[in-house]
Amino acid sequence: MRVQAERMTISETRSDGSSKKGARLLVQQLLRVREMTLLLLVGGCGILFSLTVPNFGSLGNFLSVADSLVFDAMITTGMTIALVSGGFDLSVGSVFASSGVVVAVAMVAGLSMWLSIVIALLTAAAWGFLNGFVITKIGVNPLLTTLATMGMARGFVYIITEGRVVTGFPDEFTAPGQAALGRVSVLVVIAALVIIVADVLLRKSAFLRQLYYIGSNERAARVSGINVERARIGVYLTTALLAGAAGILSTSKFSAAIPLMGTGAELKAIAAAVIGGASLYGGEGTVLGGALGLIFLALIQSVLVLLNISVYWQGFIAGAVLLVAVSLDVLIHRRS
Amino acid sequence: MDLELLTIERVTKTFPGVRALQDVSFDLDRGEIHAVVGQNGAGKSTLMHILAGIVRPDSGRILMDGQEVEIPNPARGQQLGISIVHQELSVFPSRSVAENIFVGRLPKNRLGFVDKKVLHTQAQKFLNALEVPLDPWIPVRDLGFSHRQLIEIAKALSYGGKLLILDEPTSALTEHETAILLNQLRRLRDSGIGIIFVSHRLREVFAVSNRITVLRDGAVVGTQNTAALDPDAVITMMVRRTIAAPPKQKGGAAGRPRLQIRGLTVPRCVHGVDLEVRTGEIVGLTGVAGAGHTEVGRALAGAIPHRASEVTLDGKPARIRTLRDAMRCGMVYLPADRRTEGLFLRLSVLQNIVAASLRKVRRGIWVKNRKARRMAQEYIDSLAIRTPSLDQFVLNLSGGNQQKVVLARGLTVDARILIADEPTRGVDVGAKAEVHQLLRRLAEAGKSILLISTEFPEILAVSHRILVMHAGRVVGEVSGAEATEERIMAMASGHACERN
Repeated sequence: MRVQAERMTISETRSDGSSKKGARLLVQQLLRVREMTLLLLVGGCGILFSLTVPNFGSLGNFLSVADSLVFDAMITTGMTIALVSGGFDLSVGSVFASSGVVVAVAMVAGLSMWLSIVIALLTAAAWGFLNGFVITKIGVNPLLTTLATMGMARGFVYIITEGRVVTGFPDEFTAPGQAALGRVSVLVVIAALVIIVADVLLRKSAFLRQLYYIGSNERAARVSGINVERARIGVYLTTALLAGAAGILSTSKFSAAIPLMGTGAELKAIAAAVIGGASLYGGEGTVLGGALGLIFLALIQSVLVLLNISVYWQGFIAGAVLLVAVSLDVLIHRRS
Repeated sequence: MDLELLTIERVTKTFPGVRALQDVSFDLDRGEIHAVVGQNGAGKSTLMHILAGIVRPDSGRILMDGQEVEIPNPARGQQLGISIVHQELSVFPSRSVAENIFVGRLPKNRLGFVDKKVLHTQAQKFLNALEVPLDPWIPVRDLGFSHRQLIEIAKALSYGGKLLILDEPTSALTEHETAILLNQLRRLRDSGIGIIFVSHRLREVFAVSNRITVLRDGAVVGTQNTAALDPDAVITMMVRRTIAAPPKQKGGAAGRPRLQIRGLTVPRCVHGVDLEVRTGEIVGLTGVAGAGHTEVGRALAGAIPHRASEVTLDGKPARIRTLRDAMRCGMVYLPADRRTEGLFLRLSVLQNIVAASLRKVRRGIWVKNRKARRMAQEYIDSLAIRTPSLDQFVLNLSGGNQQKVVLARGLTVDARILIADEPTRGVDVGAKAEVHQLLRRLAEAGKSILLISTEFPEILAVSHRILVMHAGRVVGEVSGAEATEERIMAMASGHACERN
């Protein structure tokens, strides 16, 4: 609602066409960015916590928070894209694990690193395609479809690992996951690149722009001649490939593939995306917003840790934040 | 006992900007079927909604059995014995016949569980009263439309109904099903129930009613015994006499055939329609609500499943099964239902206008914002869309401007054939004229336009040629120059047939 009001005032100032147009345009552009609110919130919380919570403000703390977010950031990116299209993907956590263990098992079985990576990515793509196919061609709703594949992919992980942690990879595979540029790890750089590229693509590329239409009103999108099926399948391939790539990186970082990896990642990603402005009704959201939502969740988590609040409270509080975010989403949509 | 069941005295109802009913008086006897007819927007639905307690009148009196009554809500209406069977059936397909009849009031036993035995015997009782041989336990999804309608009637009777309102009960029924329903209505009438029968189909009205009341523009034109009337007289009463005749499309368009369809069929709605649209021609396809003209447009656009024995486009055979097929053939469909199919309400005017032409405003994989804005601005100017800016949400625009946004999006495609489904529904008079002007201009520029509309003046205003549908078939064709509202109405109500 507030965003709408802002836009209206923007348009009023716009029409007078004064000479200070350039400066004004810049301000307008800044205001129009939905994530501005969230950025201020995250910044505000960051400063507040730095001043009040011991050790919070240290560079070390920030870097370790960033480090812990790499995989979730990639998964959230995919989830945001799915939410924009009016979809949903619960299987990301399991797909993350499936690629993580496939790459491990393949290398332990003696395949080369690159071949193993390709196989792991193909595995992820297969899950994504299965989701997309069932959702678009058969017409099962995304929630049930991805709930089913979530179980299948997790089961697949246990089948191929027989429940064991897989270790013993060549150095060339584990090195990048543990390398750093100065004090910033390579993985953080990769995640940042993924976010930036995906954000720009979602804003500007013709193919991904279609998702806003599909998520906003699927029937109108069809009437407008948009190939809804193809775009939808693309969405689930993307979420799965991002999750799969994250899984491979995770195995590289920890030098181990753990069957339990990525459990609950889907809920965290949905929470982050919705806090970041994506709507469960589709048609809204940005990758940058999702990333900021994730950072916001991490800030809260980090404060809880630094304040020595029992671990048992963390899940509770994260859940409560999500509940507030989705309730706001519903309330905002009900009012119009 | 007095015969008079219901009396309505001088009821008036005004909605913002519209006088829906003006001093309407009406009465209904026990054991009578009283038909209410009139064009779309004549006030039939408002009158029925007042009786059912859905709408409250501004002034006037309603008497049941000689006692003045207030009907502030549907529950009170039911208490009084007034039941309405809506055009859109409200059955629960997965539940049984019995559960549908007693929805919300299932009989319970002492434990609070549903008492199946009582439910069965009660349901059977009402089905017997209607002489419908149905097993109360079969799920409604297994039944045809006429039986669903009868279940709604059984439900109405189970409330102790003595006044039954049927709103277009036959529009979804086949001829055979209609005959069954009309028979049941006669039987109910003979048992002393009063029935108000709202219908566009004059044949049925004449077949079943005792009296007919004609509404026009919210006022009663007249009430007479059916036996003393004939369809021509009723049509003359129904048609609005405008002092200034609406502007008409001059001259026929003699382009070459662009789109030809033979034997277009949509299950339950359209039964073998042939259609041709030439270049530079506006063909008006009309009929009363439920006649199938809407479905013809949707089928042609690939929006609903259909069969056709032959479709040719510029002389070449074409195949249209999906919306995308239709677009590839150079057809663009402007949907009637703006909110569900036309607009992306939470996206901006800009995004709405360019939605169908993303490939025109891109370079490589990127959408070129400047190009997109230029394109949108062009249509905003040429269609005079009133919006504070390109970035305004479409949600915040007026109905007329929203309609123009849908139109603008259709035009960005440069389609050769435009299928406009009710393009001015809910649009004010000024915007209406602008849209009509625009359609004429497009035809002059060589586009082929199929205009689907239930408003006869609109059809008359822009069509070169008019096809009238009734009950899923084209029953008449008349040139725009020769058409009058009376002629169209006569054909649309199934009374006259003009085919060459």
